[in-house]
Amino acid sequence: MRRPSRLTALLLAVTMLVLAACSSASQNGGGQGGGTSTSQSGPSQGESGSSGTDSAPRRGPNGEVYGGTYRMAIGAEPAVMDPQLDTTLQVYRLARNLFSTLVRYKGTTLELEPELLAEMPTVSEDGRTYSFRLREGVKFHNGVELTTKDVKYTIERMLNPATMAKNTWVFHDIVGADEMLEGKATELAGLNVTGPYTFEITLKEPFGPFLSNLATAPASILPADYAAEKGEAFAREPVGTGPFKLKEWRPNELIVLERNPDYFEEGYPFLDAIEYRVIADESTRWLEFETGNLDSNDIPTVEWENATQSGRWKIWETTTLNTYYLVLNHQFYPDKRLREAVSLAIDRQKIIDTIHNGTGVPAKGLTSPGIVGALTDAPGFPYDPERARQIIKEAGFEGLTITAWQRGGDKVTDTNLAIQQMLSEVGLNYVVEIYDSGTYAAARSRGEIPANQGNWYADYPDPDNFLWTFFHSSSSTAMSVGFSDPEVDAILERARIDTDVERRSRDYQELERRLIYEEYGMIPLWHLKSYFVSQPYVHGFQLNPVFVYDYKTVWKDVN
Amino acid sequence: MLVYIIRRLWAGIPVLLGVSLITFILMHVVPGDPVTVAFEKKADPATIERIRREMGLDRPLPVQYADFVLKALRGDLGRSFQTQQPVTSMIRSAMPATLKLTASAVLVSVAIGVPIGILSALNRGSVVDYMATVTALSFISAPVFWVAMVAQLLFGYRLGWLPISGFDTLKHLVLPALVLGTRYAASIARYTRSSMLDVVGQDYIRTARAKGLSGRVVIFKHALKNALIPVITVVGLEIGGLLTGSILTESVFGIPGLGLVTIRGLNSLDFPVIQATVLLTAVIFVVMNIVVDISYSLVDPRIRMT
Repeated sequence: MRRPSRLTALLLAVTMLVLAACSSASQNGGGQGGGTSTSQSGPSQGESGSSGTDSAPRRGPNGEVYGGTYRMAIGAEPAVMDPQLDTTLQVYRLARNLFSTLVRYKGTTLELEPELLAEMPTVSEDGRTYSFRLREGVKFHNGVELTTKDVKYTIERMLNPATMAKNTWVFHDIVGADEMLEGKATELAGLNVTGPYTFEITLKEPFGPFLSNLATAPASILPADYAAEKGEAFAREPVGTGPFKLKEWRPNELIVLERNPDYFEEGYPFLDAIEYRVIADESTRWLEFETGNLDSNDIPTVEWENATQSGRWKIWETTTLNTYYLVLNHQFYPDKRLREAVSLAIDRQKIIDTIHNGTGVPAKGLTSPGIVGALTDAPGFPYDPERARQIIKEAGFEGLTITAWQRGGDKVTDTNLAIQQMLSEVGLNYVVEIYDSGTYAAARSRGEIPANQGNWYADYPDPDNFLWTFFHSSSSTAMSVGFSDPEVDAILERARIDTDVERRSRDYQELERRLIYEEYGMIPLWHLKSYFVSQPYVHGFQLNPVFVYDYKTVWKDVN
Repeated sequence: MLVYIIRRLWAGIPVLLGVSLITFILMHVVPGDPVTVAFEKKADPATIERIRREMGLDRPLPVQYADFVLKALRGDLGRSFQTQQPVTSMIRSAMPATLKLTASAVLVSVAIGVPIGILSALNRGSVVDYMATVTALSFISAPVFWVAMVAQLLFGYRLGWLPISGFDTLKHLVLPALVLGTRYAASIARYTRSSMLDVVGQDYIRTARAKGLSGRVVIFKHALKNALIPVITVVGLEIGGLLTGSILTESVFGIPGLGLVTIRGLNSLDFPVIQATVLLTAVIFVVMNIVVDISYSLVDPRIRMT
């Protein structure tokens, strides 16, 4: 009969479609190739120790175990693995595994020590010229030795407008940077190469935090020849001098880093490999961690008690350089009495205890404690709703509406609700509007957001990073703070280039006292500690307050 | 037949142009800009302007659109703003996962839905019918991510029968396919049921029965084929919907499919990615409509293709 055979044909077609899909799937690996391998085996389920031999695993000087694959999950894969192009913490951390910088933070302190340099640089009398000497014998993952050629390439690449780098701020203070960014120069005037391992950098003005800039992930040194040859593809096939190199990248699925056997620091790293599985959903990541398929994970808010009380896992705590704040845009709310009243109406300790599980301290200033130049003896911000009500009455603000914007996806809803409640108790109407990232970012950069609750994690440990960002007229609008005072600008500009560390500190502290305690230019809320959880057999994290940690020192007790 | 297909494809081109134009306009009307969004922390206005200029985003809009269309006609869908990768390769690497998921979900949905629909129709009014209806309605109403998370929690975490997430082996395919398949199975069951009821009441069925043909022959040889037309429509829509990416299921199970590519593109205002995925959706639906129409004629020769 003809009819059944047509139907059969249809069914056959569907079956063939299924088979075709199944077989084509085993050839996935991205169109651009390079760095990705065909998938035969999946990410390891359960423990994957390398000690399949009879002999005991190799151990380091402090009992560290060599070997093992570290399994983690990330919510979204990095867009690029190029720290010049990306501003996310995730990429910064990845960069610390793959690349190295000239200087770095020592262990868990804010002190700097040389990484790619043979010794710390010397600075000229006027504070503008730094002389550097590189370590010799450092190799990139492709075997090529690192020389000043690579340093020159890296810095000029960042400042080349065609790169569209987002982190130009790292090198912006060097003489000739502006000319390069405007396309008027193709070489950096302030960079002077004096030999295969020696070079000098001259800044437009002295800038104390310059060396801290060089310690950030965006200042990672890239391989000149390889990166130039790869062009845009470098971002997906990175090569650096770090303790790990990229082994595999299955888009939106899995990233595998493997040990760099020629890493220039003897004895590191301990791990054989690191696996980053891309799992978009937070609860799925937690389930995988609880089951033992992941070695560490962030702690979802709802799992806080479970994670900290169960005793099954290790909790890692970091005191990072952050400040959570409330901003009332000066263009919308110019009266400082209103801002003072808002500050008095907020019970910071209560929010820390109830919403943040007690894992923070009320802020006593804008610049995070631990940074030289932060306020040290400040009285803090009291909770005094009575006084707040009084001020509001005197100024005639009863019933005033403060409109705050919230970016969809940010985890500040609970805090905003608490603030709303607390402000209503003193007669203010705090209204929260939620916007998507695109609208929020655009409005913020135009200074159009009337108020918002936010946080700032220091790019470099210096008060300039806080005060300039929010109060210098060139930046204040873009953060929707809306502050502009030429006198303050002058103080900030002067302090930035001051080479006298003590005088600088004093200037910043005075400025902060004036801007925050007298003007309530911003309302600092609290500083939070960061936590993550790991399986009990994980050791070795060096959690620096800058919070861009790497896996060089991490090891698993795979027995 | 071939002429018919070509004619239909040709007619689809204005659709694609219209879709791309509307998408382009919407992307530029919506507040926000891809460069500003990419800066997680502070956005220095000078840097943003410079990058916008480099990306060609300051050119007049008609120029940008024309540039996009001309390149697209040559098969060049541009490079993602975020990842710098060619968009075509991003889509190509996401397709296998989406294809696998679609194929298996469709199989599950038809394998479960059609028999249940037939059973319901033949036992109309009975307990079986009632239970099937309630179950079907629950699955259609339940949010898909909820079903996914419950399935994951039960079969992956509690019972440990199946993997919690990932997408390497056949085992990884089971839960996501079941989650998506059961949802569509419910609709297919409903459509099959009502369509069967329609057909079974027809004269020619009574004639077949009167002729003494066995019940099974009547159902499968005569009734079912004719009842399939609405079902084919639903399956066609299902395939179209699944091929464009099942964002929620992919999120919960960690599947590297088209859904994730689309949502990331949308969130970061990655114009080339958004244009490409929307265009792909339009292409898929145009093609699926053609396929569905052709299937009608295969199933019912009374339907001629004109």
